[in-house]
Amino acid sequence: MRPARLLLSLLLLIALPVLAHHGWSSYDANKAMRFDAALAEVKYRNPHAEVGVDHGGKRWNVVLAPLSRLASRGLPEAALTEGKTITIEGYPRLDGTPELRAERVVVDGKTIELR
Amino acid sequence: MSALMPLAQTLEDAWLGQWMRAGWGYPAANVLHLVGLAMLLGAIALLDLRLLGYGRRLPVPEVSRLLTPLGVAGLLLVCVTGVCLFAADASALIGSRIMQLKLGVVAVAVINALAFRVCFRDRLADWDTRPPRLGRASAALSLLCWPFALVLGRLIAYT
Repeated sequence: MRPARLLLSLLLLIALPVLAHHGWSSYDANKAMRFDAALAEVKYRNPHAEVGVDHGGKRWNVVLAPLSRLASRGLPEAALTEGKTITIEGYPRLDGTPELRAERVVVDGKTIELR
Repeated sequence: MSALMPLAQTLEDAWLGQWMRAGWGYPAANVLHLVGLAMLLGAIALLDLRLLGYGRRLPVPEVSRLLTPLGVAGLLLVCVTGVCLFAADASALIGSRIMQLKLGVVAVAVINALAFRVCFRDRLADWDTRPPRLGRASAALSLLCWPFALVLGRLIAYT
């Protein structure tokens, strides 16, 4: 029985980092950003809709949410047209990649919570 | 991997990729991928543990006969749903180091399982009296590879 017990312990060791992991870990929750920007790119698709915006001399990839959530929170594809200016609030990636996980967006005067 | 790029792009642009990005396809495939993973890992880990000497009161051939079809069904399910999930974002995923490593680990695990069947199919009946060392090593490798593939799979979304 001893080898089996050893292997079970090994499995648990492998599994632990996964339990500690969550979707926010790649983003810096202490560095909230909020800015207005025009939509340069719209990718309305699963697993997450994303938009590209130019801000501070960089093209930011803004991760929104799965399509089903966007639909139920009232942000259909038709509301995200290229060129439209929206307000984005969210957290940038820790590694400096210009990517932002949006907490909420304001589109046409309507605030949409994404989390 | 760059040689596979046109293939990934084709898959992403094809109906499957489009369909996976559009509606309920992605969440459905995601759920079924987990169901398949539970079937595969649950069955294979129990079989591996039995081969390593855990639960000796159950005969190895019976345990194998019960769990192998479940594991194979789980493997088929994760393969099919895996291709679907991959199609949604193939051109980006093909360049992911974690994805490449995961596919490598899965390949090792599948080859290991096939080799086990070929080599030890006839040794299961007297496994407990004369356990082949290589056979036990194969079970241990399996028990490491599949959970490792699971961890890598989950990590793709975080890197």
